[in-house]
Amino acid sequence: MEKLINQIIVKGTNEGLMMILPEGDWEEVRSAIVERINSQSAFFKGADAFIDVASRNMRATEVADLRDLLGSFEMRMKGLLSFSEITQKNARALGLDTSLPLKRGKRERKLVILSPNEDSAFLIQKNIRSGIRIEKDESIVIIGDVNPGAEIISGGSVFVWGKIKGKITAGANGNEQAIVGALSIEDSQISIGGIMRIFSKKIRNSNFTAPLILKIQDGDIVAENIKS
Amino acid sequence: MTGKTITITSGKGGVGKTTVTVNLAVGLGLRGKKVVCIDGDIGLRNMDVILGLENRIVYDIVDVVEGRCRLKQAMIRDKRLPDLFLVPASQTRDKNSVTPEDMIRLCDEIKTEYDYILIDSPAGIEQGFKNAIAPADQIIVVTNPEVSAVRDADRIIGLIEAEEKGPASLIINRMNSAMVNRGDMLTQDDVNELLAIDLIGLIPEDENVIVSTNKGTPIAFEGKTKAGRAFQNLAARVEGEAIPFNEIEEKMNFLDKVRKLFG
Repeated sequence: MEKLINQIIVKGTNEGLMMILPEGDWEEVRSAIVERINSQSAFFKGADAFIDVASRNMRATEVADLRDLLGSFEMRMKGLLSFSEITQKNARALGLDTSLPLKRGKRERKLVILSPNEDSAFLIQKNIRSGIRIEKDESIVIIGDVNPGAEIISGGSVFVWGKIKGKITAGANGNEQAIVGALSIEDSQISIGGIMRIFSKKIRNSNFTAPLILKIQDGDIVAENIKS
Repeated sequence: MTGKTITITSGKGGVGKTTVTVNLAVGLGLRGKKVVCIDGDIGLRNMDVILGLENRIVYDIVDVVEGRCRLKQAMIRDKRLPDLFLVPASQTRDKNSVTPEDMIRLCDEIKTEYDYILIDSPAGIEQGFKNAIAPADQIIVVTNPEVSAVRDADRIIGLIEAEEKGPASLIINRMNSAMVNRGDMLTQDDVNELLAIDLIGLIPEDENVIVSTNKGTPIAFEGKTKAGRAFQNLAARVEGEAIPFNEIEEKMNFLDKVRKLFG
């Protein structure tokens, strides 16, 4: 068992997490998956998953069970990759992809959900004033303040090199790994991956020179100091 | 001669746009400049009242745009300053009677003979506002030291930036020194912290403004009053002079006064 859990390979892709499963008895592999997810539940939560089972033949009930299992960890099973024609047929019958979506094809571009660790971001170098709304799939970096009455919406993370006084939505597509960073946060409303928190008093890093990072921890938005 | 078109706007109503426009015009007029004021508030005109010219209106801006009279016929000369004119708004029409293109054409015509055109924008962000900023070379945003006015000013500044009209300048109107010193009013720094644009005028609250408005004699004629002096300073800054912002008296205790006396 100990060995089996270490044989599960997890990779991040543009489309979500890729989980490559080892050979062996399905029941044992299944419990190894549960163990693996439980060991890092915050990481897996909310993720889109593609499962690669190589040449394993999976019955329709097993595929459905796997999908429900991932669902119980608040993950979405998007695809099942396999060489086995039986597995492919059963996956398609359940509406799962049997190959990874085209990489950054023009048509697909709007659907790409970026994780906060990716390096593509939209840069704005001015104060965002009341009444201005900026909505992007990618992460947003603002050099300036976000004033009251302004709205920033991103599928990824939002970083404000200034003060947040307006409304920020990060991880707008449900990405709970998104973060919000700022030099200070005043009266504002911030949501990450669908979880919202209202800030009514000014907060900033206890070390004045470093930014403040907001992230989701145990279903709530928490502030974290960065030491510089 | 190519004059400069300056639009005065605010977003929120009642912050003193018209008062500022009229007094800036008088301030510039007192400096010997040829100035035309255009009342952009079609349907709710009142610049003529503040200038004391209401009974002289024969033609208005809509008459000019619709070709019922020549521009010169609609321009009313001020009683006191020979080079100050008003193009009044129509009271019986609405903002949609004029388009931004009309305003640009009108200002281009006036610019050839005058130093400054001051356009008084109506409150709001609709057609009247769009008409008023279309011909502007410079935009001045008027606000009061209170949160709702500052919020609206921020919105307006965002719209001006979106129109690529260059950086707007700011006038804070109705500053009450006593309240600022007590800590009961937003300070110049508080306003600047949010809006972050260049300050060009700081007008203290002054009862004399109401008196002068009702009399139809703009306060800028009375340089001895607090507000009158502030408006004259504003005119000087619009002309490019570096005048220090000393309109608001700072709180000084006895020791400070003694220190100041001895430099």
